[in-house]
Amino acid sequence: MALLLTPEWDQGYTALAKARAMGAEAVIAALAAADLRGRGGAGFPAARKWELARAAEGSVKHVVVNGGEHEPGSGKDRMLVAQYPHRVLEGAAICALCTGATSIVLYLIEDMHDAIEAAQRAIAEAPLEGFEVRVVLAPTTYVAGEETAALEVIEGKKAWPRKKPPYPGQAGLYGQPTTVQNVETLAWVPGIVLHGPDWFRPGAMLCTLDESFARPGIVEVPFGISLERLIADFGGGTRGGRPVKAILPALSSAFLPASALSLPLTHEALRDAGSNLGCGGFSVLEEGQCIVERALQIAEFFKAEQCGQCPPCRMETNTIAAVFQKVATGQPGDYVAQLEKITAFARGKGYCSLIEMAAAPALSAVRLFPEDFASHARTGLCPA
Amino acid sequence: MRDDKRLVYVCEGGDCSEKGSIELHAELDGMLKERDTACKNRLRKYPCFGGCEHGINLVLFPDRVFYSNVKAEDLPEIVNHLVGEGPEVKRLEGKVAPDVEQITWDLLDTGF
Repeated sequence: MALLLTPEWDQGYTALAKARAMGAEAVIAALAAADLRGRGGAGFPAARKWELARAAEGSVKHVVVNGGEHEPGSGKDRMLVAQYPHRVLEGAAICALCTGATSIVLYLIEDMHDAIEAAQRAIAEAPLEGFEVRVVLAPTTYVAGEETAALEVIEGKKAWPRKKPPYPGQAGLYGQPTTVQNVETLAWVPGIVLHGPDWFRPGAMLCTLDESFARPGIVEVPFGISLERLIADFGGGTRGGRPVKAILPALSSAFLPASALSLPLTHEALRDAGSNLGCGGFSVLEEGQCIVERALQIAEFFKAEQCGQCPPCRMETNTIAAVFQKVATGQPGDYVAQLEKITAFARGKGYCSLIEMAAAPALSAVRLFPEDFASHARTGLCPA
Repeated sequence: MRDDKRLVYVCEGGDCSEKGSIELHAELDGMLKERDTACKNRLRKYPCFGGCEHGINLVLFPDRVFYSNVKAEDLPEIVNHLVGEGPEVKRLEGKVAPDVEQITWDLLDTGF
């Protein structure tokens, strides 16, 4: 049964009123009991983020609703703002209330026309006296969705991530404490406040199933179901009807093999298996499809989308793409060593996590499917 | 397959190409065709050496020479060295961080 994707509630903002009556500490405790985690990809506990922002000193604080959903294959945040704008706004207002913020910024990608219109309409309708609410448009570049790049854009600057620390909760927008929270994360908040943490647990998340599924689309998936059920029940199986060869939970996550189909859909299970739930932009590769081609596409994407600010990231993304290009065109060599050396060198360097994002799918692809890569490198032809 | 020729890599990453590395590569190619009659060198492009702030970067391997801030006017001296008629151009060396230089050798050592 869907919890979040239900008809839009009335616009009485009853959850906000209840949150006022409960007080910030009780609301944050409810989020902690619900184990609500960030849905932008990092999975950071929302309650912890709110506690830090609440404790931060500052006469002016901000909440940024991060709709910078730039990951290809993810469409949930756009859909939420377009179809459930009041739920998102109410979640943001509760966040502001609990963290002591008076300013709320909806950060939406400039080509999300339906979401932008819905957000502006909802802002005009919402009973949010005491809060200053506005929409700021993000460029379409991938890195613009990174939380500190979002702060730069809102301040009218180039979409480049900031060096951290300080983190946004300490010194964010205009140097003031700022809670940057993903759209989906905030959309869950009113329900948890209204109905209590048990309503939410064990939790659910929105997943975007791409065109590799028989039934692509945005689905609400309860945590704990197997990846096999996710693919079969929610996605209708693979598009071509063949068995799953690999699963990619998000473009910036590591590939999982078909043997991982029995894993439960949880942050922990996917992390223990060497991958990451990310933003839930799922893609599958089926038997007969080429992993080398897919890995090259992903590498080319990160090469094109790295912002250019940090040399190790440029070096890594350029190198990964060049290595896969060589493999794809049948140039044998020690490509595994190249990938391992460059990703080890780059790890932890740079201002944002794009370095790790580019490495995860590349390394997992060559480790899980060594024969496919070896055959490509030898002959330039796909064994699949 | 690696042979006994020296590999001369010109970085074609974002910063270096903005600073003219593509044109510099073409100019160096022309000079080597004219001067490197013994065919001691093989000129290549490299995706990115990570020494972006010091570009244009040019690397000699297996010599392990890392030239930075290379400009067109440096090419005659570089070519003299490449054809065995001059010393390394020391003033162009030692600009990038040691770990950036090391990862370059680590990657080139893989021979891929």
